[in-house]
Amino acid sequence: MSRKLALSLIFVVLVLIVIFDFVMFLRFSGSLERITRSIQKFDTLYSQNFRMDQQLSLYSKKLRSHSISLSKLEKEIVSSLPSAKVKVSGDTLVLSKPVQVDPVTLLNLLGEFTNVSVVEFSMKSLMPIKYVGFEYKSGFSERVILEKLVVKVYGG
Amino acid sequence: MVIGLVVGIGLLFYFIGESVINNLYQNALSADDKLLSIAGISSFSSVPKSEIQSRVDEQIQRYTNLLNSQSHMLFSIKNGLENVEKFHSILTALNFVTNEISGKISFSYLRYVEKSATPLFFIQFRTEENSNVLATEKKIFESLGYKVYIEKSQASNWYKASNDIVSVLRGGS
Repeated sequence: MSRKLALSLIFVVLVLIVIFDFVMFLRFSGSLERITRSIQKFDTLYSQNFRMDQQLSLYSKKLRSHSISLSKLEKEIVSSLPSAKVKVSGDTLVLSKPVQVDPVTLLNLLGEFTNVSVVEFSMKSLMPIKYVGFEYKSGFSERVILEKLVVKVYGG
Repeated sequence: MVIGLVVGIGLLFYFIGESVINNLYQNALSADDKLLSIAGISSFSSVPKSEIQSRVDEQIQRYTNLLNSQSHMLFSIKNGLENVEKFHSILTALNFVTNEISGKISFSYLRYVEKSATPLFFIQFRTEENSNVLATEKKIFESLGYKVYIEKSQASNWYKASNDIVSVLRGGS
């Protein structure tokens, strides 16, 4: 009787121990599996971040390869168009009043830099026609009026 | 006594099993040593597993936020570059045109809008002597990958000229 009891007790303990071991192994390897999954995810994010850094430096280098600051551009515009009045807000420069310009100089200035984006630009000429071989009188000299100019300077 | 022995063997089996599993993962992760050290984990075996998990989770969160803000930045930089390039290419095209037909024309009205269906348009005065200028302009703009729309308007009595609106649009299709 007692022998049978002892044997069944041992059997019960054995079963409990096996269940305990099994559960603990599952838990342990489960948590390790979770860690490896997380590490894989981190690996992906890390390499994506690396590529993103490369792209960022490449494109910002391109944007800054020939850059000018907003205040410098303002000075340049004012010095080439002495009568111009400009308003600066944030990274944008706006012409406040129409002004007479030399279109070639202005367009060359605006097209010179890699971080200057022209949002709006509008010119009007008072002397529309240029004839080949036509003798201009002084009153017919071409006058170009800059009516609108909105310029955005990146990183300035 | 026998029960003690059974429990002892069971526990021993557990510890052996745990270290075997631990070693398996440690070996499998040895290639990621550098990555783990970036996440601030000096060694896989000595740091508690819960701490490794929380540190890696922290890094995942950090890099997710970083990537988010960087992709915003990249988008704005690319957008800026695109806008700058648009204006520069328009200028190049205008230069080509004015070099080709120098002296014969003058843009009486030039208008450029960055975000517009037709970024550039200008009013061109055509005279009897240079009636083929528009065709030449059209050909030059088109050879540079622009689409050109010419809107013919009525004749002006200013030196027998007529003004036409030329709209230039970037893009192939």
